[in-house]
Amino acid sequence: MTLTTIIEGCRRGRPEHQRELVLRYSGQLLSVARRYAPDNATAQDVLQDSFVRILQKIDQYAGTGSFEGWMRRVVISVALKRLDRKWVRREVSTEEHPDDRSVAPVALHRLATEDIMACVASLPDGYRQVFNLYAIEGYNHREISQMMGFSESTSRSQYTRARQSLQLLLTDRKITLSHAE
Amino acid sequence: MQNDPFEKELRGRLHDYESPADPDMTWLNVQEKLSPRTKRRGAIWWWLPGLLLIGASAWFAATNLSGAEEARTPDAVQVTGQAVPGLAQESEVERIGQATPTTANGDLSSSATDKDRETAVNGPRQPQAGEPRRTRSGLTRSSSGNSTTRSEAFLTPAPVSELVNTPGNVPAPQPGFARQTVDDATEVRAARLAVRQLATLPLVPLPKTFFDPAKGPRLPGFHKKEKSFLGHRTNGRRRPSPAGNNRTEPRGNGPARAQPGGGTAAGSPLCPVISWFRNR
Repeated sequence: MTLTTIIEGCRRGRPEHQRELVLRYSGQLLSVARRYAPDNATAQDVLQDSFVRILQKIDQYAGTGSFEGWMRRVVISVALKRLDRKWVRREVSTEEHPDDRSVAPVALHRLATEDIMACVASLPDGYRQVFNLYAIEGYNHREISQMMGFSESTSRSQYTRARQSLQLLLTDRKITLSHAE
Repeated sequence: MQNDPFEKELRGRLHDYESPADPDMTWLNVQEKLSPRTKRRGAIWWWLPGLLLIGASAWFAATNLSGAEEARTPDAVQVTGQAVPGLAQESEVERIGQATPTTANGDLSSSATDKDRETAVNGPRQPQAGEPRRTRSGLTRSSSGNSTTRSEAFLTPAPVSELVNTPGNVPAPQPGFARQTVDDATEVRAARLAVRQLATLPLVPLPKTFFDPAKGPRLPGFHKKEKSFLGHRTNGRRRPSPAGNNRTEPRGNGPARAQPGGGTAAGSPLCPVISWFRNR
């Protein structure tokens, strides 16, 4: 069953095509949801709500761009809506800033992807979302500031601190793993 | 900064990463969230016409049944007691020689068939001693035979012409028969009158003191109070001071001066009011 057939069947509301879409993209979209949600249960809820929204709004997909990219944007939108943005902004202003000293480059190839996911998930919500939007999804700071509702400079500073925190976490994780070996 | 090696490696590792998921469970949950919306839409569009249809049918049934009951009452009186065993096989209607147009046209066949079926199942019903027998035309006859005495249990009936509205088909009463007094129209009128009277009654039962038959209706706040041992109506209220000023003193705070007119404070502006209440 091709992707075009699935999209056309979903537009007509056929359950077999909707099921095929869910089965095909569950794992990929769950990883997106896990990067934005604080825990796995929330990520599952985000994934289900995202699929419901995708199936309801599939008529809005123009068919010109990537369908996966469109679904990713839907998942990110649902995940950001679930988070209280006021709480994020308050957390941004009250978060302790890590020291700005440079962190030694981390050898990511020695870490498993699940370990990296765990380190990203352990970041504070504000840091995690800005880091995901900028480093993984490829949005610029102006787009992030519009999506999150704060200024562009705040987005920049958030990303810098998130990056340093993640490098520290990855270093600690790598040291822990090397000690365990 | 997005082209930094750290971000590049992270993006490469995380962008296309697929987390282990349970797609079947996810599909079941998604299906649950998708289906109630369609059901709710259907309920919105089909529930209201269904309710209207039920209401309309109930209204038609209520109106038609009430009208049919009134219209069917005279014929029902005629049909009651049809084919009672123990009587002569010949039809009383034929013997009387008069019948309503409905019965004359053979519309009683269904009732007769039912009665015959009942008789075949239960056997013929034997009349008891002293029990008046009922005939097709609503006439009764004493079980002692062809006695010509009228049964005192039944009064002279209302004219059937009022019930049947066909004066030509009214059977004439014969000697030895007394028409059963079943004036349903009068009963219906009396019931309607009783319902109207009930509707005029107050919905909230009033206290007993309001309808004391000996003293008549009274309003709260005008009850006679018990007098104190000094002859004053205190009743827990403050009374005007003897000096006539506005200062009041509580109950039981020393004896009060008795006034010849019955008032407790002659100079008080409340004196005429108190006297009026006391005299009343």
